Amino acid sequence: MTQAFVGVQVAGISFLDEGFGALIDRFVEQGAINTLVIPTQSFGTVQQRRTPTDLPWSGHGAQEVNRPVGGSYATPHSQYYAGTVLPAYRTKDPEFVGVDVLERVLPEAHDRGVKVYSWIYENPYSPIAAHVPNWSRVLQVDVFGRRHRLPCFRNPDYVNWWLGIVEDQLKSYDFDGIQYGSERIGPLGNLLRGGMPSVSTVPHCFCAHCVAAAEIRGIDVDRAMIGWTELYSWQQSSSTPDGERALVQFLRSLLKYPEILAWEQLWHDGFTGLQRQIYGVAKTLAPEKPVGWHVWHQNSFSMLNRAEVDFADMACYSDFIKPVLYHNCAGPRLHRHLTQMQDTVFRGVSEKTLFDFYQAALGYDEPHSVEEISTAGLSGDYVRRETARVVAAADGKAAIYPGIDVDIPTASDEKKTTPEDVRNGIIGAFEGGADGVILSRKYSEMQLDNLASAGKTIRELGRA
Amino acid sequence: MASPFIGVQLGSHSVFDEGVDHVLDVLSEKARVNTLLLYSHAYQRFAQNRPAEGLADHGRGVRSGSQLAVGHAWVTPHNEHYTGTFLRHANGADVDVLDEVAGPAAERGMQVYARMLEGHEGWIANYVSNWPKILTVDVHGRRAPLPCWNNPDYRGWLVSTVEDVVSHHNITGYMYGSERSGPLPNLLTRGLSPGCFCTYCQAVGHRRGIDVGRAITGFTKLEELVTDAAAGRRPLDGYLVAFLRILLRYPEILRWEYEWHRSKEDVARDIYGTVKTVNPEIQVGWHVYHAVTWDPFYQAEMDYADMVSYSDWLKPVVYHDIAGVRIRNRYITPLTQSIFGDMTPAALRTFLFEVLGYDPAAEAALDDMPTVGMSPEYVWRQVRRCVVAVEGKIPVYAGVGFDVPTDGNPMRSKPENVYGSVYRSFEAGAAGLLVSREYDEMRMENLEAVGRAVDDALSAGLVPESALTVGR
Repeated sequence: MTQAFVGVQVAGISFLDEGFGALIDRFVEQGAINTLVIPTQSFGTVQQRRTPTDLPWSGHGAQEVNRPVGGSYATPHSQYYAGTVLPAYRTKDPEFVGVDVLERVLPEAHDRGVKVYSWIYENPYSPIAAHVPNWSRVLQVDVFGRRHRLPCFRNPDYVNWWLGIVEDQLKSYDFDGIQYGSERIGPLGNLLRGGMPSVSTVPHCFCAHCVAAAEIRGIDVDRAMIGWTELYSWQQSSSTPDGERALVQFLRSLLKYPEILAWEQLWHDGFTGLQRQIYGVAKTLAPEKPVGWHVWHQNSFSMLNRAEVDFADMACYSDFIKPVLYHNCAGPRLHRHLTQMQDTVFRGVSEKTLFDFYQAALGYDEPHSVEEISTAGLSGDYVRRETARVVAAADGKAAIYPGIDVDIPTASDEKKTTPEDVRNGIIGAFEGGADGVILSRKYSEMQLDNLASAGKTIRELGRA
Repeated sequence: MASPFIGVQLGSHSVFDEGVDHVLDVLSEKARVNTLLLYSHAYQRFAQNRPAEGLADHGRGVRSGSQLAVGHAWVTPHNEHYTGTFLRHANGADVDVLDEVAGPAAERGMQVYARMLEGHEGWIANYVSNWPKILTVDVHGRRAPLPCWNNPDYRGWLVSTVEDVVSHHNITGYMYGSERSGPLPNLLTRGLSPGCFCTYCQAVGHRRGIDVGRAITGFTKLEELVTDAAAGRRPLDGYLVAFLRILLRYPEILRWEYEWHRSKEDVARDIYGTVKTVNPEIQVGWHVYHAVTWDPFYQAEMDYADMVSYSDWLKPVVYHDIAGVRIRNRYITPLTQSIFGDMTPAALRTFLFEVLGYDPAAEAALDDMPTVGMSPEYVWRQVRRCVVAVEGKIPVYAGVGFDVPTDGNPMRSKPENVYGSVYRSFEAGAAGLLVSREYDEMRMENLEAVGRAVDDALSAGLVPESALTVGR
């Protein structure tokens, strides 16, 4: 068997806590890991964090709470940030004063034959606007004309800022590949309550750039806005037990105003548009360095997201794809998704019926009932099926590295990872035809026996 | 004594088969019928699907099949109303049924409504000259078997027909119905190539801002998906996701589907305005196709609240018995060979029922649906939905149907379910009843069940004073 790509997502905080060389040695020895996927640009509150205090300590690293705001964890160079109102922004997290993560990790990793991928993470969920000057200038606009909390993928300042980050990193560091990720969905998914809880469900983006893009496509903007407003009213309304059914009302809005779907697709095209541009820039600057994408877990639950994320299409601008297949936390997450849909488009449909419907539509055959999935998680078979789906779609044009769940936090009464789970997930990935795996979502959360189970399984499969 | 609207759909042939006086007395005495809805024109072959031994226990029956023992036009035509269209009615009867019935009905205090159900089968082209010229055009540019509502000659023919009927007859009301689903459901459930893309429809679509080329491309891709599904070629992401992906990329599909619906309802608006212009007293209402009770797309399109503006009353079709076989054979099973190809028919039944508000545990299991039908609760749900939507602005006459031959005739209606359906209709807020589908199909014990249920509903105070409109 050939050696597989075996990555681990690990943030700078873990290196500071456990030592650069020592931690890499642990990864190699215990996890059979050959690639470090390091968040170097991140405004998410999750990736740079140690295990939160309300969760069991992972047994390694410091136990003190850190509260990252984010930014660049490398050293940005301002000359690459022309053409944007957004400046290069070095993190002000206190633990990283004077620490350039890439600068410290690269020699230690390369000395040990371990590759380093820079993970640039778009998630803008931290209180970023308070820190980065001019951030409000790149925000989306909602259907009522208000600035929306998240930035717009069509805003040229925002696009240029990201292209500047890519150019900066590729010209300043000799890492081995780039992984970009963005855990965002379009206005329709958000309206159906399928997005991050902190994101408004009011339809967006109606900024001048998106309106112009819509007009170029021939979308009737006024009709789109009327349709979205009507749909939002429906979402906000309470159900009438004797009256029209929720799905029928939803379909009525789409039939009357299919511009809603056109706008949703427009948003998604903007979302992937940034990825395409990043790919092109990276390939221009460093064609030998693989570029790939962390594809959000939504893709495992939402039929809408699945319809939008076309892996066959994605393969033409990808060297690798990391579909998030976090099987343990997928149980409670799928359960939450079903609840969200019961609150909107599938009002009146029972949990069991909806679960059966989703299993069939998504191609799952899980051994547990809907009542059990929050505590049981999903199976290795889920990982296998999803991997096989992505592998088939990519058709050899891009490598597939499923993200494997190792101790991703869940609520106290929900599924926790065991070594057997890790083993099942990895076996599922390789049985599905994966070219590698990325242990996720970050090392600081992982129990060492689960990390060891990953290494043991990979070696047993002959993929180390 | 004033009573609620209790109508019956009375095939014009039955009047002559059994005799006017006899038929009216039977209907009045057994089922409390006070309103007769008679075909002025009948472009259906309902007689064709009756079993050889007959279903009903009265009448001599009518010959079925290609000999067409029943006529198409049951009223005397007046050609002056048909300028502006090259179509003319075919196969006229020697009598005018509305004239024949007028006297006996008046003697009994019964109302007479004319009715027309749009012909929805391809064979009409063999009997009506020039019919092929008004046919729809499918996505491949081929003429398809049914007429196009945007064709001015067809539209003119429908309006002329209505004008002719209401101008020459002393009738109380008029009912029109069209039993056609749109291009999207027809593709998904029957594999029919989508339409209509005739020059008139393309012009309408273009005028309304639809990119016609993209609509054609989208429907073509969707037809490929459905064809693949029928052949068992599953898309990588599953059937439903593939369907959603096509809709996201070609939302013009939905717009075309909706404009098809608008054209259908534009015909109703034309008819409404025509009747009201000739005689504002005539009460105009619509037979709303049975699919409104099982197809979420059709239900979404037929917005009862919107229909109020061109309706004096509505008849939602709630034929509970045959709903079983129709939902299973015409919708669930075909969809599991199409965009719901990843689901079993049993699972889709449960999902569909919960989406629509039917109790899967209380209704018949999938395999029993053809022989058990749907329950009176199905009737209540659909009548109630209509009543809630129209907000008291117009009356709702529940279209309770029984003994309807259809889809191989797997069951016969039982009096207890007929009684329950009628009673539950009034409990749902119906202002009246339209006993369906055709008198010549109905057995006496079921007509008697209608009468008992009406009596009991009145005794129970389920019919408000405002609904006691007949004989007031």
